[in-house]
Amino acid sequence: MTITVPPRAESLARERTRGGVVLELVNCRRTYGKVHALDAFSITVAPGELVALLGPSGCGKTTALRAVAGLEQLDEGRVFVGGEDITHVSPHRRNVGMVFQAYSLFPNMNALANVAFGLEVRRVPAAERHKRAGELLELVGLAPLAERYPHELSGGQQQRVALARALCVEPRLLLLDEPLSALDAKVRSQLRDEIRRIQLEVGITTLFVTHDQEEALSIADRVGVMRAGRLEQLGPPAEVYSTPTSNFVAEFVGSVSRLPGEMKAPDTVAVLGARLAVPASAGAGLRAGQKVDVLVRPESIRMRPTPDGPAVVARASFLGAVVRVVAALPDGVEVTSTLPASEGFTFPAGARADIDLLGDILFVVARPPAT
Amino acid sequence: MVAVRRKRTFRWVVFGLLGFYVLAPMAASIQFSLEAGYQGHLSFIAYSQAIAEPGLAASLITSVKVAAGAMVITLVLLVPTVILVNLRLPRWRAVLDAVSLLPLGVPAVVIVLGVLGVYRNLPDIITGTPVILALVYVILAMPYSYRAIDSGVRSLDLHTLVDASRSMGAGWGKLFSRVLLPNMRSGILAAAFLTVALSLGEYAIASIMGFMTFPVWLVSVEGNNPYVAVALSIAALLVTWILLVALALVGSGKRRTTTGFGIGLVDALDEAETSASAPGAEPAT
Repeated sequence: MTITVPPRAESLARERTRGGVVLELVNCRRTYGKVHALDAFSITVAPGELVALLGPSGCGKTTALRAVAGLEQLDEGRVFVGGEDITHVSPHRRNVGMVFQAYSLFPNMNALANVAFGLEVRRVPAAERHKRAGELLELVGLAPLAERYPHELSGGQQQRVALARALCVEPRLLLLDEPLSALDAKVRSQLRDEIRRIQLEVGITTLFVTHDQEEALSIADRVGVMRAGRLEQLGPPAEVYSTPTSNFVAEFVGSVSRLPGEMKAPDTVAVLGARLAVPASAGAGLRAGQKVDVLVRPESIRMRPTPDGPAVVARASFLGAVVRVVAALPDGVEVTSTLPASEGFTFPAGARADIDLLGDILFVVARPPAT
Repeated sequence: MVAVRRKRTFRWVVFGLLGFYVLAPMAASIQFSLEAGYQGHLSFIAYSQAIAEPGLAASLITSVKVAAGAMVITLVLLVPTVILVNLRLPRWRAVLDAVSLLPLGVPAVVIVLGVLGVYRNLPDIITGTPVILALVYVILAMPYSYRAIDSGVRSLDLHTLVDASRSMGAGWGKLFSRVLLPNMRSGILAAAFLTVALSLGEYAIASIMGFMTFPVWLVSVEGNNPYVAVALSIAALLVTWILLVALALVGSGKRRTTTGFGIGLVDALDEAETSASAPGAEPAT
């Protein structure tokens, strides 16, 4: 489905030039019983920036978002928006726009009334708020469906109306709590691009929570990877993907193979019969002679069908542009490689293959002693 | 093909039996009231006598006032409570659920004695007037009204709607009036109807407490003129049906909630029955 971008309305042009405000969470802590949902969590989001918080379920990313919205009370820490401390400000006075994971449109109101709701609350006259809501519906490409009720809209359309509703009050921040997770893959990808387009157009500071790494990497200016209530790493998507600061980030963002190796020097590792340099960021405190696991991305592993190769192909999947091959080493370790489909190699299950490392080591981690 | 025909026949037989079971007594009552003692000769004489019967208007007004009072108190008490419990105190749901069922297991005489004992020190305007009857009916209707409202609340994604409207800048007043109440309409209407229906038809407690409500008056009339009593019963039944249809029509207007008035009503009755047979059990979600 093609989304037509409507002619720019005057008020939207005003918004575009408005820019965003800086968002800061400082040393935030929130516990539920013995669980630390947020543990000394700090982050700064620059004006107009889109930061994606990425992490597994229960890592605290939604708690952080809800704390910014005021829907969650912090045990400790401060939340600043545009330099103003809003830690104890009631949620309905924070002026943030939020889109939820669940469909959150009010069932008793049509799309236009839903979008205009925030303005109704602010006692904006009916004519003005409907004009404004109409503009926002145009922005998300749903102006023709303004009279429809939520149950007459698809999931994707509902989330677009929710986005328009969140933006209608000209919020200082936009908070997106896994807004795409209930949608099917195709709609998700379209809406993701649309959210990014609108965010750039409006220039609003945005915090986007997701557990989908592809979503985070593709939409964000910076990605924050969270684990157990803490921010494990924050950086541009390419940096988080290619230079993880921990094995958790390496393994959570993208896929990796763990290859057995041995440190030959503090900065050199022997793996698959080759000696490779270990970047300082990829493994600190390792000693020569130490047994390690070397984390490598599938695109850094080259596989070739060879009759006397050391690995045995377990399975191969054709994914369009690339082929993903999983092969087992003699010691049973599985290695995954992605190869351009254009290379034309075939990997029948049970065939032997040769494996080369292209040299990009993601992370090296000491292997736990065998029990 | 034969199996399908058998199934269809079976359905019609069941439907016919059920229809006969419900309609036959009503048809007999209508015939009884229309004959009014003159076999084979139908007339509305019993109905015109009923209208002229002294005490009808007063008892009817008392009943309507009590029913309206019970309905208002029920909604004012239960709607915020059920929302609060679902939103902030989910652990209390089981307690509220169990408490709401108590009236089903307590005989009318015990309730009257209990109410009179507890409310003894309240002003006469409550204990000496039908106001106390309205308070008792609130409790009597609770197994049904609580479930109707609870089912209305649970048909919503309450947390998300509250969070969404709060983040839009809505205070609690706006949240209630524009978001929660309109979306709970079917549950609220079902609770209102059940409370009104129960209040209009309750005899035992009103009689023990000495209030001349419509059912009490009806029984007192029956001794003198059974035709008039039956005619009035049929008229009362019709009024109840009209009320039900009116509420259903209001409930099915531009509704955008997931359960309709009828479903809310059936849910409430079903759940009250199921919960009563298994005390303390969580109602199905």
